[in-house]
Amino acid sequence: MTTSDIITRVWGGVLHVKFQLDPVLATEECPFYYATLYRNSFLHSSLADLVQFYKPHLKDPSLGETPNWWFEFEKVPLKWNLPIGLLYDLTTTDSQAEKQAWELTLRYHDYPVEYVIPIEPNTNFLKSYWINQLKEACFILNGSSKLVMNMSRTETDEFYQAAIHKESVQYETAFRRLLPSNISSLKNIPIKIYLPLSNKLIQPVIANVGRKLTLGNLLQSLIPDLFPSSLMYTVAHPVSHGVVLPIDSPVVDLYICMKSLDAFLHISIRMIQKSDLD
Amino acid sequence: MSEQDLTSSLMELHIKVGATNVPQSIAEETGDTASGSDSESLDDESTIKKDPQKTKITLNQSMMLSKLPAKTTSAVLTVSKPTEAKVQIRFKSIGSINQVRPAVFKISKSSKFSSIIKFLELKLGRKVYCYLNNSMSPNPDEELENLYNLFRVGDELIVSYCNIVAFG
Repeated sequence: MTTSDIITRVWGGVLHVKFQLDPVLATEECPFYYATLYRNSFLHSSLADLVQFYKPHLKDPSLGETPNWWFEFEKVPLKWNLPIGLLYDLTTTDSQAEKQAWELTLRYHDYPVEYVIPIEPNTNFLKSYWINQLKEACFILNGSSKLVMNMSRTETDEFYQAAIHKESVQYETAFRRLLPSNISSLKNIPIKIYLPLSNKLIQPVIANVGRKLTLGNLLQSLIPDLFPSSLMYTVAHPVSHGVVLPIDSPVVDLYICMKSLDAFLHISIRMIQKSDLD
Repeated sequence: MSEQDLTSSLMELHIKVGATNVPQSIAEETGDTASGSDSESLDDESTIKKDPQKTKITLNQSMMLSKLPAKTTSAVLTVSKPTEAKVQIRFKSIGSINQVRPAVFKISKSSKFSSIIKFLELKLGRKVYCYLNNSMSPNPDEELENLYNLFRVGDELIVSYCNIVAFG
């Protein structure tokens, strides 16, 4: 499979989601909303459609005008700022595979401020979040955010629109401009590694970026307790976009192929469940 | 690992399990007061109160954990522990907003960036916009340990702040 085949698959990955409106907000029993959502997108990008669908069922129709909705899976609030696919990989266990859809609840009351970043009213919060992540990624790659800071407003807008509307070709073209011409000039790689309990995130600082560094080497050096070997997975799996990443892949190539729309490579660590063996 | 041991270990790490509303919140409050009464609160003005990451996991995830071999579960808990070390923060004002004094503070590495924003807003009595390296505005739940490792200048993390949006 070529790099562009993988990139196409990353952008094409989907999840089947079954939404339910928080029953306390509804006038009567209201229908489920079924959607096929792209893994590489944000939940709030679908919010307008969802709220439109549920508007006739809302006890208080004025809620339809506000962005302060939040999503919940099995009583766990979901962070609006993470890509949908990552949220799925972080919150589900192997038992989820038997289900037809990922069941989420759309909620309004009791916004979980302790777990989810508050949404600032009257702002394009998603866009401002995305641009700042892009600046961080750019800084990590080049040692400065200048390449993003120097983009014209139109260029930034087009980049953002390409990310949100999954125009992968435009996105990749804009993304390439953030990379130095030579791999050896890369300062570091924007990677976020989520530990299984989701309370800790590791962002590695890679001293010598080069094709020799494999994912196995990186994980073994960062989290030896969960990755005692750099040649095979024994305790945990690194997952991105729903697939277990090959242990011998160069980290640079994984980044180029499997980064998310925020220009970070998100890796969630899932424990290997040796079910029914004992 | 017994379920009780697991629950108490998770609580120490500020991790709640979805769908269990039992005495967790009480236990957590006691935990918070205990940590508040240690040396931190006695420290001088130049230390910012820590604000650790809190998370929730699903009941299925906690069941999955309790079924893993005991050694594996304790490995997961070990790697999830917050770092105790502190980082040095230097504040720089942009434009007409007051410079906070002293300009250098220490804060626990496992705190979130939001604790810095909260601290400044409390000190200055107004909303502020914070930036690293005069360019990017980290998201409030990013951990200072990562921000420090990636964006520090020398041995400090330089936070500039402004009363308006300075870098769009």
